[in-house]
Amino acid sequence: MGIKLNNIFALAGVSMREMYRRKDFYVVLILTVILTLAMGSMNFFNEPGVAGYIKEICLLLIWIFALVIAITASARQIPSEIESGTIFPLLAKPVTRTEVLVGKALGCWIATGVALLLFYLIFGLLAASWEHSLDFSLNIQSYFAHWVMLGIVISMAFLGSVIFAAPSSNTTICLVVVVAIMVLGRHLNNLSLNMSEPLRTIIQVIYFSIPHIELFDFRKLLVHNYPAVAWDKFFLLLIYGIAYSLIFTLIACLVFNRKRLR
Amino acid sequence: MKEKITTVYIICLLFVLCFGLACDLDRWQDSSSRKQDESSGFFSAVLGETEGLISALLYLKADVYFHRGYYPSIFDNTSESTGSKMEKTAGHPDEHGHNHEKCEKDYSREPLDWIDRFSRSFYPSVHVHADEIPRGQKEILPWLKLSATFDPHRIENYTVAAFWLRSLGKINEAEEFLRDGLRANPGNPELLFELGKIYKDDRKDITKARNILELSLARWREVTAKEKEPDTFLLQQILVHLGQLERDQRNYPLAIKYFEELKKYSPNPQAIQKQIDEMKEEMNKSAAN
Repeated sequence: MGIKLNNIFALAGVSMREMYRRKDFYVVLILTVILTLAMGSMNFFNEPGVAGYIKEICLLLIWIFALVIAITASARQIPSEIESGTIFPLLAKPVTRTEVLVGKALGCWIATGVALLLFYLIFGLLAASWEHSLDFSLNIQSYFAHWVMLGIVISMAFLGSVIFAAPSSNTTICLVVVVAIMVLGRHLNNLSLNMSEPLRTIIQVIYFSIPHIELFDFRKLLVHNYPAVAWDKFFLLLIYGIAYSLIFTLIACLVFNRKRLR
Repeated sequence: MKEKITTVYIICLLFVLCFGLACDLDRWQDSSSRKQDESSGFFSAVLGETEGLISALLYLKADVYFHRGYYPSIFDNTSESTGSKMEKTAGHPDEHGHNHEKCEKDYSREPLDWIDRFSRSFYPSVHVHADEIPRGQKEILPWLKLSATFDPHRIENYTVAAFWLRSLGKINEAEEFLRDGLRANPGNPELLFELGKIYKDDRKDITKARNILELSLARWREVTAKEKEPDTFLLQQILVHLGQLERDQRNYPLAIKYFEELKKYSPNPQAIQKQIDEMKEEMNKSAAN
C-alpha cells in the first residue's frame, strides 16, 4: 500500500486552516500576555530585574495552553469527520485511511508548532525585556523539545480518537495520562523499589514503556538561567520523542484501517 | 382562581422567609468577616484556611529558588531536615551561605537506569545556591512577599526576606517589610529582634537598637512564660546581640549580665566565660587607672 505525500500535505493544510479559523489560540495567546504583564507590573522591594517568577508563570501558562490546544484539536479531528459523515466523500477520493490520519496529525502538529513559536517569541521578548539578556540556545532547545513533546501528545490523542467513541472521553484520558507522566514518570522506577512482586515488575514495565514526556520540560533550566543542554543529548531526546510519535501514529493507522466507520 | 391565590400566598411566604433568612445571614456574615478582617485582611476573608496552604507553598517556592531549582520531590529520599536551608542561612548571623556543610536538599544518588541517567541532562542536577551567583538572592524575594500577603502571620517570611534584603543592601525595604510584619503581628519577639539588628548593624543607631532588642527580650520572656521547654535559640541570639552592643559601648556590667544569662543556654559556655573574664579584666584596668 503506497502512501502519497501530496495527499498527506493537502490534508495537513486543510486541518491547519481549520485550526487557525478557531478562536481558541488567539484567546489563550492574549490571556498569556495579559497575565504575564500583570505579574510583571508588580513591584517587589524596588529590586529591578527580578524575572524568575514572571518566567515561571509565563511558561506554566504556555505549557497548559499548548497542551490543551494540542489535545482538544487532535481528539476531535477523526470523530467529527465520522460523525458528520464527511469521511465518506473524503475516502471516496483517491486517499487512503492512513493518509487521512497522518495528514490530519501532521496538520495538527505543524499548527501547534506555529502557535508554540508565537508563544515562545512572546516569552523570549518578555524575558529579555526584564533581564536584559537572553540565552538563545536554551530557548531554541526548549521550543523544539516542547514541540516534539506535543508531537507525542498529538499522536496519542489520534490513537485515542480511533479507539474511544467520544472526543470528550479521549481528551480527558489524554490529559490525565500526560499529567500523570509529567508528575510521576521520572519516579516510577524509584518507587517500584519499595514494592513487592508482582507489582514491582508491573510498575517497571510501565516505566520503561511509557513515553517520558517529562524529559522535554526545560522550564527549570529556563527559569533558573542554566546553560543550554549538550547538543548531542538534545538531539538524542528529539529522536526519542519522534520515535514515540511514530509508534503511536503507526498503531493509530493500524486501528483506523480496521475500524468500521458506521 | 383559589389555587392561584394560594400559590401567590405561598410565594409571598417564601419571599418573606428568604428575606428574613438573608438578613440574618448577612448580619452573621458581617460579624464573621469583620473578625477575619481584624485578624488577616482580604485573603483571609476570601480564602479562609486555604490561605495558609497557599502561603506554605509559596514559601516552599522561595526555598526552591534558593536552591536554583535543584530540589527534591516528595519521591526523593533526603536526609532528615527540620526547616529550609534558606531559613537556616537567614537565621544564623555568622553563616552567610558560604559554608561548605552538606545541605539537607542534597538528594543526589547514583542513576537507577538509563532513563534516570539521561534525564539528568534536562533538569538542574548540580546543587548551587542562589546567593552563590551575583544578586541571585533577589529571585527569592517575590515568593516571600506573596507568601506574606497570603498569610501575614507566617513570621519566617519577614525574617528571611529581611535577611536577604539586608544582604542586597536594601535596608529601607527590609525595615519596611519587618514593620509590615509587626503591624500584622504586634510585639512579635522575632520581628523585633530582626528590626533591632537592622538598627544595630546597618543603621548604627545604638539607642534605638538597644530599645528594640530589650523590647524583643521582654516580649520573648512574656511569650514563653507559660511554656515548659521554650525554644531558647531566639533568646540566645537576642542575648548575644545585646551583650555585644553593651560591650562595644563599654557598658561592661550590663554586658556581663547578658553574657552570664547566655552562658546558661549556650552549647559552648567556656567561650562565653572567656569573654566575661576579658570584660572583667578590662573593668579592673579601668578602675586601676
